[in-house]
Amino acid sequence: MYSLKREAVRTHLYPARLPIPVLAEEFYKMVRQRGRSSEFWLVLRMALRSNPLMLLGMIRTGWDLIRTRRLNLRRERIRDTASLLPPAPTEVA
Amino acid sequence: MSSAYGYFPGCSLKGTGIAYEESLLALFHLLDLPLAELDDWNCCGATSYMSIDERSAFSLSARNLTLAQKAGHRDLMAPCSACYLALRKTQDYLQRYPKLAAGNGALAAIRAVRVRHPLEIIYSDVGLDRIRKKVARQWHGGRVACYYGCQMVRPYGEVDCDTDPTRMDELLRAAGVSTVEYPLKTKCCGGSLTGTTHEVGVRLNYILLKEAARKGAEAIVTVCPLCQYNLDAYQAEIRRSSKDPVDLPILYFTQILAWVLGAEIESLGLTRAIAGRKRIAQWFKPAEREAYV
Repeated sequence: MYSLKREAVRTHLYPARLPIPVLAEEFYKMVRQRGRSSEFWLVLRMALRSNPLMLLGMIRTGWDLIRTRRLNLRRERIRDTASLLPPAPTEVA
Repeated sequence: MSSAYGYFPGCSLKGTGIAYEESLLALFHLLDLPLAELDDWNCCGATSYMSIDERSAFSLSARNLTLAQKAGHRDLMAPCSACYLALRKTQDYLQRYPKLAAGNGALAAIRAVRVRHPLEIIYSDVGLDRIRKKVARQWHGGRVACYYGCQMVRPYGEVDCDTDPTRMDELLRAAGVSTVEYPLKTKCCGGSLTGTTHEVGVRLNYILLKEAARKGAEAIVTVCPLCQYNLDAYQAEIRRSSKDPVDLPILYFTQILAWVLGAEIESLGLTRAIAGRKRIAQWFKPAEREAYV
């Protein structure tokens, strides 16, 4: 299943504005660059890239998370981001 | 070798699932189980990362396992079901296909570190008898439905039975909490679908909530921050769209257990709940803590 999903994402074989592959791409970029995902920024970037109007529907949930102090606006990062890189593909036979 | 459990919180426990971390730390303190958070841990990659790049997804979890080994931990605890599964899957795949681990030196760590979920640690390392003996407060709350979700139990079935898990029910009953039979206990909450294909995700959660209420539960208890978030955050929307007056507290098993074992109410993250706040306020009353035992 993952192979099919990866291939669909790689070849853009999905309906326009479908947020699922956008979420996967943004998540990948964020974790690859920073080592951690930050929920608020991830959802914001996904919505801006796929359908910014979906943000309007998230206002209520966002407010609930703010008033219960569950929305972390900090962009988290690990210290040793260089160690996130996998070994070069040539090392795997 | 460190006697403490290595603690891998994952990103959610520092954000929307912070009440899970707060109550987990309180519970482990009460049970005298030492925890040491991994220094400079990274995101597990969950399922989204795997959808883009499988090899580097394994590298993410391999890095965390290596950090645990270097810190001398025999056990690495992952409370989030997605993190638990990503770590466990990495161990499984890299052991079966060692070439995937070539170059990052992770194989030794993968063999040396055991990935564990707190539910299994409390069930196996503490045990029901010790929980019964440590009860410090009578539970005055209602009956609860134990919801295990899918990722913690499947495919490995090491935390609990993959088709009919019961350990959370057993632990809560040992602590004096009544649980109901909940046939949907291992059905999926939709994961990230509530954020992507919203209507589908919300519908899945409505089914879970409605069935719990139909079975007589007055709250749902969970072991996963994403399940908790999905079941908790969309109840107002479900009420509006279905006209069903659903308002169930969605609690972590660590919140109830720590409360019954005598934790300070402020340490449990109960004010972070979105749904069922009235019931939570009734059930967790600080004044009652001296009235029992």
